[in-house]
Order: sequence, then structure tokens, then C-alpha cells
Amino acid sequence: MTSTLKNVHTLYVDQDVRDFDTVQPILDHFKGVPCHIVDGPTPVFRRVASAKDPISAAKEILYLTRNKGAFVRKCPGTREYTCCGYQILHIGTFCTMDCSYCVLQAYFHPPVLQFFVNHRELFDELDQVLDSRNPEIRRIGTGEFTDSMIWEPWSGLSHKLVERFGRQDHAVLELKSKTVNIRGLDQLDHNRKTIMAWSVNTPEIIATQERNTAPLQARLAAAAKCEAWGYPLAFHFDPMVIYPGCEQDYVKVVEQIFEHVSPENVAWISLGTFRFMPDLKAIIETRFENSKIVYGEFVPGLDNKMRYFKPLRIKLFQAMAAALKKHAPQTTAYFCMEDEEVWRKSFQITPDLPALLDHSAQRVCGIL
Amino acid sequence: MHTPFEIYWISLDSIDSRDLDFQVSSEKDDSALKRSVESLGLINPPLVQEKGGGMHRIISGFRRVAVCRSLDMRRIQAMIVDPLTPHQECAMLAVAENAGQRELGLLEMSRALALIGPGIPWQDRVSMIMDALFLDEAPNQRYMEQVESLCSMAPEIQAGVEDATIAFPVALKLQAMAPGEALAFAEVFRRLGLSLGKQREILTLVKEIAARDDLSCKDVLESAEISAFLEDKDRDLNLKSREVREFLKQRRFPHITKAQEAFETEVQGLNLPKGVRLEPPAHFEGQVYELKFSFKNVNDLIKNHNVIIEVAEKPGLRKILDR
Ligand code: SF4
Repeated sequence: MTSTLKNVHTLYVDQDVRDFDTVQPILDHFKGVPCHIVDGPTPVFRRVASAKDPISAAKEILYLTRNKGAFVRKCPGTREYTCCGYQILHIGTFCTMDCSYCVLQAYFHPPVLQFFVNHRELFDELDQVLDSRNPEIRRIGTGEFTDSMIWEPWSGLSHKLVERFGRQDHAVLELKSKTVNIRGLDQLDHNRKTIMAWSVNTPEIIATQERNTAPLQARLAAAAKCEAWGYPLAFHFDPMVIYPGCEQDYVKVVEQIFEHVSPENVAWISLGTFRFMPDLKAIIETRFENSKIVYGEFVPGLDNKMRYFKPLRIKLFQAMAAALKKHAPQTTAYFCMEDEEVWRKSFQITPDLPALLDHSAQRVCGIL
Repeated sequence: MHTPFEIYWISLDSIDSRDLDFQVSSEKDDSALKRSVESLGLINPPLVQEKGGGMHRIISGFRRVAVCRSLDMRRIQAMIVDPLTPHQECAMLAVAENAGQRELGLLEMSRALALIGPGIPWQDRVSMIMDALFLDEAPNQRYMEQVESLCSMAPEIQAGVEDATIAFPVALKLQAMAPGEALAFAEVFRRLGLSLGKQREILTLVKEIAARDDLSCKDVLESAEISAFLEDKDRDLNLKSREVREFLKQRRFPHITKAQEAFETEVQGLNLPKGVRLEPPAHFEGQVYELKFSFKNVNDLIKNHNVIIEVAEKPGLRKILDR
């Protein structure tokens, strides 16, 4: 069962946003849930940090506040591995689902499920960014510090974003999710400028490592619906986990994807094996006692994250490259944070990745 | 607190040496004490308390009583504490007597702490601990609680900590495990006598192999290979320890160790000039290799000037670099 925000049992609202017109509909939705008006995040941090398991606690406490920084930010890549030049639209942080490998568990201290409600500022900034037609900003996504769709349907933000992107032709919006919260998307004037994207994994990994997420079949069925509503699609195999029999399982997922949707509507497919900051290991061991994912053959990467031993990554990627070539030869597939050796040995190319993806967006979504 | 006691001659048969309630000291080689009692007599009488039926329990002086028995003495002088003295007061006396004589070992400290106010809230207990152990400052609560837990661990783990074959931080980790698992580790550690770092390394490797392969740690530690290393009489401890660790690393990281071995074999096949080393990228992750050779002075360097060309022309080099 997908967990969106049904489990929220406490609300905190920043004093200086309580009168925003974006807030009241949210409070109406959570009628009956205890709500505290606070002067800044400290009480929320305290409440979360004092819990026995702050990460689980944070998934049940929603904090409505204002984003005081930039809404559009460059995705933090590293020099050592090829980065895709993505832009993040910072709508909120953390998540109500609970994946063992989720980097957000170790990223925020403590983690806080916060939703930014200063949408007027968000759209002002977005207008500026889109109107500037900056050639470096062609792909923007909300699913980097959170899941794009857990905030639906009560926030209505994604719907507004879809329509805003539909009124321009310079960039695409990518909404990436493990939920099936697609209700209402069929009513929107998206103009193919929003890519509906799903993170996918093998049924084994979804069942054992992705608590409260939608099953693979449900994600693919949702993708098929979005395709029928005219949306371009994307799929992210990230993180791929190496386990006995994983190659056949991942190849099968590729086959299943293209049993549901047609390759020409897929803007891109990304591949990335599990990598983690060393601090995440202890968190996974404590919070997911039965998880085996940290017991693979990992080595410290050049970005100081632990990564699977390179020949193992390449072997899995080669199997995926062959499957993708068979089922979707024209679809752009790319690696998230891999070096040129991995690219060369798996896809026989070392591309200008941002240009490759921009080109895909032009082809599939019609941006100019 | 001022506990009254008087010195009397009592028969050794009236002392119940099996009553270990107040024992703090660990068993040690008593030959020096024995020699002293033989030549000078028992200078410092043990502290005992009447326990009914004409018998006495020892509060302090377990080793002294044992030595006197081994010397076939019939009667000794003892300081006899009032039988109405409460148990906690006797415990404080036992600890203070021991702590006043010598620096307590870790296990002795553990027994001492277990005697002082068990179950009493820390804030009330800390002053009792300071008094009994003659401390000037309040000790760290968490550390004291960890030390106290030692004497309730399995005897094999206690013995390992006592003979320094099991490091205390490792003992704490073993305590958190199921008894069978902890004992399997204790057995291996006691047989190998490893440093703290190596104990930790083995602990992690075994736990991760077990978790990955759905085995118990005991299964991993009692595998035929590890048993063979441990049983081999021709290997010294250092060699056994190295082999056990290498075996575990290989089992935990099979592809990585295989790649390392293959690289080493291929580099050997290159027949590099003496003193020249070729090193792979760290963990085979990056793409930069290192060629290393040493020289003492400029002349030496000039003599080696064509090392790079010589290595670059080695027929097997390309295969290594094109992995
Ligand atoms: S869905 Fe994404 S953001 Fe949410 S817990 Fe899983 S990995 Fe983290």
C-alpha cells in the first residue's frame, strides 16, 4: 500500500505562513490532526530528534513552512562521475514512504517532512527561470529531496506545475515517484512538457526494501494510464541492487515496462547501482534488520560514497544495455553518476550527457 | 558509616569459602602471598561475618583464606563484622578493602560495581561508588554500567577479558549477541589472541557473511576451513590469525579478492625490473595506475632513466591496463 500522507499524526505550521492561501486547504484536509503554530523549526526538530527512531517519527510529522532559499537549484553531482546536469525544484523535503536505501535518512539531521507553502515565490522564481530560456536549464524535477507525488492530491502543487510547464516550450518538468497518485492528471493541459517518471526495481527489492511504496505492477499500470493521457514517461532503475539472480530480474522489469508502454513515449531510462554515504550503513542495519543490501561487495568510490565493485556494476549494466537495445533501441538510457569507463564498457559511448538528455526531451516532449 | 568489628581467632573450618557473595578479587598466582604467610604469618587478617550455624562468610580476604588452607593452618585471626551489619554495608567494606590494597582489574572493578548499590538510581549510587573506590571525581555513568555488565557475561567472555584475549569493547558487542553466537566468537578470539582492531575486523566480516548468506555467526566461525586453521599445530598464532582473516575477507568479498589476486599474478608475469612496482587504482575504482620505483641519488635516478619505457614495452601491460 502506498503511504502518502495518511500517516501524518501531527502538523506544525510556521507562524509566518499560517495566513497563506496555500495553507488553509491543507489544514482542511488534515482536519482532526493536532496542529501547532510555531515560530520557526526548532520545536519540530526537537520533537523529531527526541523520538526513539527519529527517522520513522519524522515521517508522521508534517511541517508547513516557507522555503527561504532558492527553489531552483542545480543537482549536486560530483566531478569524478558523469553528471546529467539536472535542476531541482525544491518543493519540500523527506518522504512518507520508507525505503531502506533512502539517502534522505542520513542527509538531514534530523529529517523533517516539510512542505514549502510559499508557492507565489516558487512560481515567481520559476517564471524567471523559464522566461530566461537558459540553455543549461532544460530539465527540472521535484523528486530529489522527496518523492514528487506524495504531496498530492491535497497540495495541488504538481497540478499547477504541470500546467505552468504546459504554457512554455523551453524546459520539461519531471515528476518522479514510487506512488500511483495520478488522479486528476488527465484533466490537465500538460502539452507534453511534463514527464511522468517512476523509480522501478525488481519485485524482490520492492517487497523487501521499499516499505509502503506501490508494487511494480501498479506503477507500470499508472505509467500506462499517463501515457494514454498523452504524457511522456521516464523510468529510473535506481538503486539497482546486486543479488543472486538480479540480472534476470532486472531484465524482466525492462520487458514488463515495454509490455505496458511504448518506447517512443519514454524520454529516458536511467540506471544507477546502489551507492551510499558510509553513515547510511548503520542506519540501514538498525532500521531494516532483515535487509542485506549493505552486505554487497562495496568499495569507497571517488566521491567517498560506497559503490559496488566496478566489474560487478559493469556486468549488470551490460545485461541491462542488451535488454534495452532489444526492447527500446531508440530510447535514451543513461547512467546516474558513472565514469567514462563504465559508459564505454556498457554502452560503448562516452557522451555529453546533458546534451544527450536535452536532445531526448526535444524529441519526445517537443521542447525547442 | 562506621562498621564495628573485632579481631578473634577462628577455626578455618568455620569459614565458608564457597560463599562468594562479596568476592571482588580474581584468582591469581598466590605463591608470593603463600611465601609471605609461611615466613611472617598472616599479617592482615581477613574480614568475615557470622552467617549462622557457627559459620562465617568472607567479606574480604578470599585469597588469604585459600593460602592459609593450602598451608594446612587450623586457626587464623579474623576481623569479625557484627552479624547485624546490613548486606550493602558489607559490600562497601568488601570493595573498599580491595580497592585500598591495589588497582582493581577490569573484572574486579565489574564485581565491585555490581556489589555497590545495584538497582539504586545512579544519582544516589554515585557517591557510594566514589567512597568505596576512593575516587575524587564522579565516574562516567555509561562506562561504569558497561564495566559492571562484564561480571554477568558468560564465564568464557569474562575469562577472555581477564587474560586480554578479548578486548573489552568487543566483549560488550558479544554480550549483545545470542549466547551461542557470542561463545563461538569468544572461542576463536581466545585461541588467536588478536589486537582490538583485528577482533573488530573478524566480528564485522563474520556478521556480514552470516547476514548475507542466512547463516549464524557460529556456522561461519565453525566452518571446516577456520577449524582447520585453528587446529593446525604447525602454524604459529600470527600465521593462523592472518589466514583466518584472509579467508574471511575472501568469503566476504569474493570478486574483489579474486581481482586483486589476478592483478598480482599478471604483474608478476610482467617481470618488472627490480624495485619497480605497478599499483592498480584504489579498489579498482578510478582509472589511474601508479608506477613506483625508488632511488637514492641523482646517479641512481639517471641509471633508472629508462624504467618507464622498459615497463611500457612489456607485452602483458596492455592486457592489465585494459582490464
Ligand atoms: S520513495 Fe524515495 S524519497 Fe521516499 S523513502 Fe523511498 S527513496 Fe526515500
